[in-house]
Amino acid sequence: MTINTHRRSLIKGFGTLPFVGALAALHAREALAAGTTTTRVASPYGPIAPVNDLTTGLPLLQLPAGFTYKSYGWTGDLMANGKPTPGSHDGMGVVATRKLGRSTEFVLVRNHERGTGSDATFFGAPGVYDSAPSTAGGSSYSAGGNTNLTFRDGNWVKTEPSLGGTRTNCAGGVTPWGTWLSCEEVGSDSVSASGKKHGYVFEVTADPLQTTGQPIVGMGRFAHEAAGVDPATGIVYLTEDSSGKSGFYRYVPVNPTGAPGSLAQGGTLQMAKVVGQNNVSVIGALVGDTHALEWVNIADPDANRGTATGVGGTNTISNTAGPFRQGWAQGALRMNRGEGVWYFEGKLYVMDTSGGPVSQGTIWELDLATQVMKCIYASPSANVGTMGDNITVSPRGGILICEDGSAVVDEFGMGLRLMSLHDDGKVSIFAKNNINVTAAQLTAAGKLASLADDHRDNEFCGGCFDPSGRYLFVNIQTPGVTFAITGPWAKGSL
Amino acid sequence: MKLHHIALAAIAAATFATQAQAAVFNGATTAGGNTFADYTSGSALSFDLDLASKAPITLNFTLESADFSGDAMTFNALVRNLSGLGFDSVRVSLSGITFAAPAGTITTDGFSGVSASTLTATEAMARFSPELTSEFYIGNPLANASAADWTLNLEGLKAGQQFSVTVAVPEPETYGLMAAGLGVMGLIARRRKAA
Repeated sequence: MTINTHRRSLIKGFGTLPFVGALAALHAREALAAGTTTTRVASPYGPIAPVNDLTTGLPLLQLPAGFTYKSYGWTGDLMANGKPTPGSHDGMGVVATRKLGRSTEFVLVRNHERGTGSDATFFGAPGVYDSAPSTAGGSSYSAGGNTNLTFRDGNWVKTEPSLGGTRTNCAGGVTPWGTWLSCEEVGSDSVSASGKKHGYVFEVTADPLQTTGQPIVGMGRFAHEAAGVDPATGIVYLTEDSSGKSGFYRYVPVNPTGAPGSLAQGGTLQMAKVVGQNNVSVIGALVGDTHALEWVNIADPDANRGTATGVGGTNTISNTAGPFRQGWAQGALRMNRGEGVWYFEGKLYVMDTSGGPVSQGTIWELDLATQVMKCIYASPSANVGTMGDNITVSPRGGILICEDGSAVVDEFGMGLRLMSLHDDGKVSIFAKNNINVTAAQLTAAGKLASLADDHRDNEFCGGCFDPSGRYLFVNIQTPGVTFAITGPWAKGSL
Repeated sequence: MKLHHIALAAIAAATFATQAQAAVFNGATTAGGNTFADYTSGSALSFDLDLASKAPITLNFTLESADFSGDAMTFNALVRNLSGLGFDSVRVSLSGITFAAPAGTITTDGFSGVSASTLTATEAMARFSPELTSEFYIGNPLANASAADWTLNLEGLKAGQQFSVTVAVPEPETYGLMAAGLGVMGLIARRRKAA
């Protein structure tokens, strides 16, 4: 197999050639045996153990030897505008790399998956979509949104709010033009006191002041999860997280060149269908399962929910999103719960968090040129992988899976994990949530004492690498912490 | 694109601009895809080094008359480790010139620490713990309060003479040998001075 020549070319992005030694050792993703499930093997990075955070001194993560990290942006930490950082950290991406003299600065956009709350200031975000309470005269406001983080020369610098007045901003995706698509995971037709609906995609800019807070209605209204942009066509691929009735969508913009605001100029929403077959469920997939895709148009991306009826009047599913209902009527496919999406080198990686033989997750690799998607990962047990959610691909082509299942117990104890998916289709444990902290420890570290608890069963999310591949940024949703991790990445596949 | 082509492209993309106010920069020699960018200004020799491998990189200079009339010549470098592998230590060695007092610093971005360091007239070494995988600073390229540039000693030198600065990443086992060697050299120097 010779796929790695493509991987090598991507690594030029930071102006040099990192990880040459690792590349020589990597193998292209081997032909995976059909009808099988994924196996877990010992990590090439070695066993993990608790490592103290360089910021707080607390052992918040289990990592392999040689890896270190700095936590930042905890729930309650004061942002640049003096307001406390909102909680429920979720999807995240590096949207900008810029030089300031000899300094190198990365800007990350981070989701906050919050529903409603009492904060009518929307943590000071400049772009506010829905400033009205949920009900007339009420005091419950849309509490989700985004914050932008600055990381310069290996150190965290500041947090600034960018988007507010949105709900349940779960994941999203980076665009080739340096913005973030923030996805509301709302599966409801409810409207706020001002008549505004939720369940949209919003564009967030590296400069918070340029974030408009206006939804891209054409990208559909449903329980959005994540987005991935094909830079060759400008088409945005979208997942839906709605148990058993999740479509896989794409948005074909009228302006394919891409720029901040270009997606809002209009486009066509489409839903994936298996060529020659109607209403295929890909939920119970095994490794090697392959489907050729075509796409059906969704005439009304803002349609209300309702009962979906498949081709021929069969396959009826109740209470589905409006776009799903329209696509299902044309024979579109369904996943169980579409989650993370990441574009890498002509391929799109899509996580179905409850897919597979035991509902512990599958990963689909969609070849964007051929529109053929293949299952490359299917967990047979929580121990191998428990409900992967957000995913990312490192500059070396290694896939990182953020787990969001039950608190798995393995040879390193209890706790959710970051898993690496190797080129040979096997997975191994890269890191483990080790947050089990007391109020006294948090107070000493300058954090909110109210965050004290055993959080080891809380999900990793928002994993993303900087363009040079030196730093992995990732969140633990609760208590709400962001990490920058570095180490000898070339020892393994990440 | 094949690997060596990428390496050549990366090297070609490096900045070769020379600032006339400091020693004339004659370019660098390296391998393994390492690249550099020249930020020299005035009498401060300043470089960013992107190390895609552990291959050493040597910066070559020629002294000119203007170098002897102004401020002391200083040196700093921001070194990014893009190899994906840990750096156990760094060695900065001079040829054709020496360090002047006061000594400068070797610091990191905080993901690793400097656990030990040694210094002679022509060589500065620092050991990292844990092995460094992000970036470190020779002197003070980012104008941090806790760092200081290195000063180069021009005494006894003349315009037209050449010197070089080599930044190398020794393998872990060599650090002990080098440290021991530096210790012996220091001992010899002290004995000569005492004699």
